[in-house]
Amino acid sequence: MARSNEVNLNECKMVVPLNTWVLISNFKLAYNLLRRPDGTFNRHLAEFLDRKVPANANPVDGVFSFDVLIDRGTSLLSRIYRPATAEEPQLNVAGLEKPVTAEVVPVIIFFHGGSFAHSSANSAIYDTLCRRLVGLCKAVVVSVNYRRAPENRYPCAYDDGWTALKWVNSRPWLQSQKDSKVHIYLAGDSSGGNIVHHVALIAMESGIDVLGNILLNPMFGGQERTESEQRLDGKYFVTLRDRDWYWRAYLPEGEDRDHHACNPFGPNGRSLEGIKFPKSLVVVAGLDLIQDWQLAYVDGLKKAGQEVKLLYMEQATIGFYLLPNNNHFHTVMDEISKFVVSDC
Amino acid sequence: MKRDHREISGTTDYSSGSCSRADSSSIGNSIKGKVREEDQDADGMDELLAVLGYKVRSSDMADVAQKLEMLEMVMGTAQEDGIYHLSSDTVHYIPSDLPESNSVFNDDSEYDLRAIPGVAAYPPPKSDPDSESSQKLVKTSMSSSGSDGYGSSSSFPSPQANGIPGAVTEFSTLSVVLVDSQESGVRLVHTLMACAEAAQQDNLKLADALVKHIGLLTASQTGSMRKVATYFAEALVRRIYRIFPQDSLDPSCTDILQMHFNETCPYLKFAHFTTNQAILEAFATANRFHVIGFRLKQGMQWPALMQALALSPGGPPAFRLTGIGPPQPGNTDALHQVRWNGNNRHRV
Repeated sequence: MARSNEVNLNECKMVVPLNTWVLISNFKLAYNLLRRPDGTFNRHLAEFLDRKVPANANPVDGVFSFDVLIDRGTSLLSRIYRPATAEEPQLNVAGLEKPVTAEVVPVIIFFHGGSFAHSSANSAIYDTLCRRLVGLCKAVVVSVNYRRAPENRYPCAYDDGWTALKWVNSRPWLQSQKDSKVHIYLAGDSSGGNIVHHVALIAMESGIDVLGNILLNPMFGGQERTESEQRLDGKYFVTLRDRDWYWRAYLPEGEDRDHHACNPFGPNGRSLEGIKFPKSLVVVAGLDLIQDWQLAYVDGLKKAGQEVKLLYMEQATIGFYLLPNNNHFHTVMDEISKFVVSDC
Repeated sequence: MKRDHREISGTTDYSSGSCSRADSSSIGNSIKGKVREEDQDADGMDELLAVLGYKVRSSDMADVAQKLEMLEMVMGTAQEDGIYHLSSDTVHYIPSDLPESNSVFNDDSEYDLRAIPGVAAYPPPKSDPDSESSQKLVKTSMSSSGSDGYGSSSSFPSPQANGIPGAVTEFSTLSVVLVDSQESGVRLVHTLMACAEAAQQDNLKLADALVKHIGLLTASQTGSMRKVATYFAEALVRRIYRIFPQDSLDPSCTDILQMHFNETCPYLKFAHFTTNQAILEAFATANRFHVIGFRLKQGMQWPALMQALALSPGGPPAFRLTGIGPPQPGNTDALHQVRWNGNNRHRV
């Protein structure tokens, strides 16, 4: 076992820049400590170890942020990121929710990753990513601090996403001037990508229009062990064992991975044929062991006649979008900005 | 946190070839390990990681990577079911807290997590204590009803105020939240809980490490939160270090002394009076009372309350008094010996 670990570690280091390797390995090892075999999670230690940043109403690199309580009952917080205007910086609270002035302003509701158990909206890695999205898409970004597993299982994360969506949709100050409507996009990585799909489904069924879905390395799975899972198990930071643990922590007790939350186009899934569904941009990392499920997701959308663009980044590992030090990062950011088109 | 470069290079020596893995990993490093000049800031810190809360010198990156590999090796040889148990036995150090000595670095502990770089709970302690207060002046926060906000710490490299108190910082953090997310307060709670859990599981090494953090976190609080946290922290410290109060005087003696003191000085009586009033007002419509008294001693507050209740318009409510007292030497139950005058009057 030790021998193959050595090989894995070296292979891994060959394909990512060293600082990326340090960052992701750090997460991997810390996360290993937090998952207990009995399915519980060392939440206090996790909160202690996570690098978090406060919101900042002073613009930094043209972006300022503030936190809002969206739902008192579930303590649902979100962090809002806005582009700073040329005018004076916000000195009072009223200024934070000043109406958007442009003809069309995309509002991106972002769901951070962490396999449903880790991270928060104020985790440093996600705060940084959301700030990037503001500048990239000239958008307002709303990062949802959804409830996490295993303390809160399915469907809590989706419920929180839906609550946030309704909140965003009903903010007059987020309405684009053109049509007095809020132009909503959903985006997320890993478990956040999974949440994007399910929240979009709820939204469309309830008559709220979502203009586009962005899924970065979305977390999907199934009972079957696919070829990519077997080939890449343990090779690039992620193991099947940890994937299984997270699904067991999120899905209702007794359910297996063919539950529709995990496998939306599987035996318990439903067809999206004929249903109005947002266009999707799905990014798949070529060294992610769950890629077969992600590709199956894209196929499922295509078969249902839905608009979907796949970005398959061959030599990318998980987390490549966290640091701007590789080509995959720049390619994907470019595509995202084109996807969130202002004149949509 | 800044790692002392001298320490690291002294102990991880690629060229010694003592470990064959070092060779292959250094080859791997030379292919991918080049750090671009533009990724470093003025201190040679990797900028990209710094933004994410991890302070690592670019020149140390390869060493840090190797430490992480070693750490993983150690973790990997642990039991098959995962290594969660290591978090119980693990001691988390902030390297800047450790005394400057080589012997510390040569610690053979299997569970050494010092390899994991990054700013821990706080930005590195400032050399100038005055700059703390001037930063606090600049920070404003709105609070409405506090809800359970983000558990957090600030790991942004903090703005460095110049030494003059009240000076305006160039880069100030106006942290305005529409709801007071009480970030550091929540983090404090998490740390207290984690420490208490550790103490309960008799994992004193982890509890000890955490209780040191509590001290730091408490210092950033004000008012009642600070007070409560301080008391809890003190209690945890006593539990961890097994410091139990030694009663120098015979407890019955102190009780009598206390009684005499209370008779002669009005302060406690006044406090009892106002407290009882508050209780009566708050429980105006209640018909059942259960009082749980910690450190009941002679229970002097309660007869007055009971009297007032007995005289209430709708007749006396049901009343129950539970006393919780400290363990007594000689196994006598001092509480049983407490009798109130006129106890018979209040049949409940």
